Amino acid sequence: MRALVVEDDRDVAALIERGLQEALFAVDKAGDGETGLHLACSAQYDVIVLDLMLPKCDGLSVLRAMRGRGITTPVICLTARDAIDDRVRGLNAGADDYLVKPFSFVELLARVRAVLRRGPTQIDNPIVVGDLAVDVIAHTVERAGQKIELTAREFSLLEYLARHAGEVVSRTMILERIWDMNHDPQTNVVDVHINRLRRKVDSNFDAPLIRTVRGTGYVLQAG
Amino acid sequence: MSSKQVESRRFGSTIRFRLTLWWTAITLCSCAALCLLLYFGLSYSLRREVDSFLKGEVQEFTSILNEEEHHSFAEIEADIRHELGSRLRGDLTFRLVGEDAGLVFSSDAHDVLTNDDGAGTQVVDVEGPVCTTEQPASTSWPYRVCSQQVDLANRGRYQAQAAYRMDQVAASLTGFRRLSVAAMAIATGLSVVCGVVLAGKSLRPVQQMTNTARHIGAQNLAERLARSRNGDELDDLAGVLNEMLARIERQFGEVQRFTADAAHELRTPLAALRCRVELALDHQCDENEWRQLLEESLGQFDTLSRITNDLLLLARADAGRNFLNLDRFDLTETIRDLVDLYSATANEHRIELVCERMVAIEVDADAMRIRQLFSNLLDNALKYTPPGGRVTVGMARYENKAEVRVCDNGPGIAPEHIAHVFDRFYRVDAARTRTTGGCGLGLSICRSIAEAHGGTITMASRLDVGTEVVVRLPANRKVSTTDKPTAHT
Repeated sequence: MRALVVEDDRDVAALIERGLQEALFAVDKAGDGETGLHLACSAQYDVIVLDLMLPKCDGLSVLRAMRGRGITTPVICLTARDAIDDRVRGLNAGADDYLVKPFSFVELLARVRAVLRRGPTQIDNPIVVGDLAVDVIAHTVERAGQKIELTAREFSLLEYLARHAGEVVSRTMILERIWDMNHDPQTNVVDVHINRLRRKVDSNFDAPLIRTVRGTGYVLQAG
Repeated sequence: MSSKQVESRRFGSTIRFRLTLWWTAITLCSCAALCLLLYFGLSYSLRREVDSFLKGEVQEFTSILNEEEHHSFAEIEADIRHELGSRLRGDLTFRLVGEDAGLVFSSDAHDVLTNDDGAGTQVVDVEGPVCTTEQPASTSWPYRVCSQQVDLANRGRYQAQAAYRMDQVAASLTGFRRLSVAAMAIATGLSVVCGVVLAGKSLRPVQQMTNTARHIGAQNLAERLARSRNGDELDDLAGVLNEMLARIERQFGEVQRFTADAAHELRTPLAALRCRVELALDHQCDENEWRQLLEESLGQFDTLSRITNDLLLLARADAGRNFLNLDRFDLTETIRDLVDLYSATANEHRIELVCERMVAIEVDADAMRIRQLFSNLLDNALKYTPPGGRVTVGMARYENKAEVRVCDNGPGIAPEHIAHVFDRFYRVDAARTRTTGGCGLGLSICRSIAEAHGGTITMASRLDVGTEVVVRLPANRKVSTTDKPTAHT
């Protein structure tokens, strides 16, 4: 996998580079918008991490120019400005996801993986994770042959985790996708929902499937 | 305006100068008008007096002429001198003028009214006594001449005239003119002096206000403009400016307190973060301790991020621009979603979270911010309600407003705190709020969001009974009611 990081702050760029390299990405860096656009147009990348506040040519212009030249590489925008404003403009300009600074690297990685998974990959139905089967058409869940009754909301939560099985999903990603919430409430509302889901999915079985990634979020994983 | 500019301002552009100028011009004009009126009035009445005197004289002259019409002119002249001699002063002259022959005789030996060619004064072709003003070439003063036609037997038609020398009248009028000019000059001088003094006096409060206002700054915002207390316009102005200063001082104080509080709120987690990182750098830690320190640091870091986001939101709301992304949506759905989100937490704390009387109301609002508003409220309500308590969310339409009530039966808030609950960084109970993770910005964010939408937020509370928060947002006109209470327990 090859990633392009367009970020003018050297510290942040170096940290993202290091983290992505540890996750086995080949990383190119660009310190300004022009270089970023040039690299994005001249090489094939699997994902681009793009800061919106850049010298020479700002991130939104880079994004528009890229999309204008038919480059469909998934782009994750980073912004230190107001979340919602930039999100709307970024998504309108063709971004696939966005992240507000300060962000956790684990969350960035989770979002990078999520956008890589999006798109052409067809998900089998039912989604099977270990001995758990989530039927996204019939809206039924079975574990080791036993039917598990879930409320609609619990089902969407589990479905979201199952679709990203093996990947970390952060609390904010869950809030965004399941409750359409764009800010982080101060209390652990998501944790409580996950705990309820756990009680139904994991408590009667030996091997827990839903694991907590401390400080970041959750992952649904077998074994 | 800098003081340098003020110093270099020309006197010609000051209100004082302009007031004086106007004042002087008006005084001068009215004085001139008055003098002109008096002058013309005086000259008219003087002439009328002369005229009536002359008419009397000429009538008498005529009657003598008629009595003695058969006498010779020399006899008549002698007779007239005899009869009217007592009236013949230096300024009155009797003349008899023939229609063709010119001057027949004149009581004045040096009659100046006769021209060199002997034609004399013009002969009036009217019967009655007619008065005209004659200006002889040889004198500087005019004569007033009253003429009456007489027919003398066998001698044809003559004009009997009485002429009055107007030198006294002219001198009086000239004197009056001089006096008027002098009076106007004095009035001008006086009005300039009075204008400058009066304008200066009435504008002195302005000068004082300017001086005071010039040096009022952040350091001495408590200073106020001096007031005359005499109820005039400048006093009113000073009062209004003082009120403005008071508002600015209050808001400045709020900003200062807010900044100080914000710094304090940021410093505390920063200090903790630094301590933990320093501890982690200490090599005597084992790996488990390390992990724990780092995880705690992460928590501290999250707190800092949250406060920063909250402060950013408040700052943007204060700036009041580009703050909301308006959209039309059904508020009911949003409330239901939020109640759903918080139902698990409520359940965990054994609190009953209920939707009551849900009314479908469309609003034009920023959906994200509205969710933030109500999630803050639900969060608060659940935080302060003891286990076994009950939190209800109700909706109603109230005069084109969507009204949402969040009620709990928690311990309530003491009346002395109610007025401040929406203030930034205000905590009813500092110790408890800190353990539950708030920094005192939640409710002020709620207020900012509600007010940015043109709505209101109010809180009512009774100790040991509970608290009710009412949010009113402008609603779209569309009514449909669904009265389905739904419980999430």
